Amino acid sequence: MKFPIDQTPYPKDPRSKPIDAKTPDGGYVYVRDTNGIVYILPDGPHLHPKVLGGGQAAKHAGDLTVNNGKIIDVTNLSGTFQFDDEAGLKEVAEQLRKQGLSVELGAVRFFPGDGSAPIILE
Amino acid sequence: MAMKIVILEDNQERKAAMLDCLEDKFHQFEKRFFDHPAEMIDFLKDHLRETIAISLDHDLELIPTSEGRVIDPGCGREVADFLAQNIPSCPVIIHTSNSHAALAMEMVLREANWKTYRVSPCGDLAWIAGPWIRTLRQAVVGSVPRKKHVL
Repeated sequence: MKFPIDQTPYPKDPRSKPIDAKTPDGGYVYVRDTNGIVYILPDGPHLHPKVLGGGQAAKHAGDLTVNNGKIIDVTNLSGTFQFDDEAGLKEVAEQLRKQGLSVELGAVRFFPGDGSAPIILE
Repeated sequence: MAMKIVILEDNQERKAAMLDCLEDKFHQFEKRFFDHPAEMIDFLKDHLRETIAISLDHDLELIPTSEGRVIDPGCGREVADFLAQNIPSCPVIIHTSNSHAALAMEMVLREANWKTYRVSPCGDLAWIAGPWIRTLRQAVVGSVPRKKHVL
């Protein structure tokens, strides 16, 4: 669990909601809350602290792309949270399945915190 | 060693806006800005293998000297020509409003099998936090190689 680096208690963005099978195609930032639920917002600059709002801690964070109802990529890219554990990203993929989405083979893409080359986890 | 995002851009406001977006999306990578194509080419000669993405402007401002003259720094096409002589290794975003030059840069890079993307600057700086960073994200995430990770 991590707190956002920017601890400004921004209000929660009213568009923030748990991802589900009806989520429209597009790019999103996501934050997995301490209960394990993955919340999303349409991708944009510096939105991670506004997904949960209030400077709340998260289990994981990054961004993802939905295409035809499937997750075609999901990453740990977030300058706000900077998660650096492969297991946490795999748990996000598993949670996305629990929330009704299929995750394409090769979609789980991990970016190491030291800036070395990214890798596909599953 | 941290991978690098290497950018040819000479406008200070654009650089600042790009850096903001890069820190938000790609905090882990080294960011290198150049306003001289020759200096960027020298850097890429040593670091192309560690470069994860490149973004190129075309038209660069003339640089005034203390003697009252101006120096022409060159243009983004010079970097494109250099890249075309090398094995493709990362995506290239072309972010110039000079559409003829952009097309020429795209052609020379694609003929050498480089993966290219176009972003057209418009109006103020909003295109940087919009299409530019979205395209860069798509390019970088989409180019992650499918190889097994060895623990």
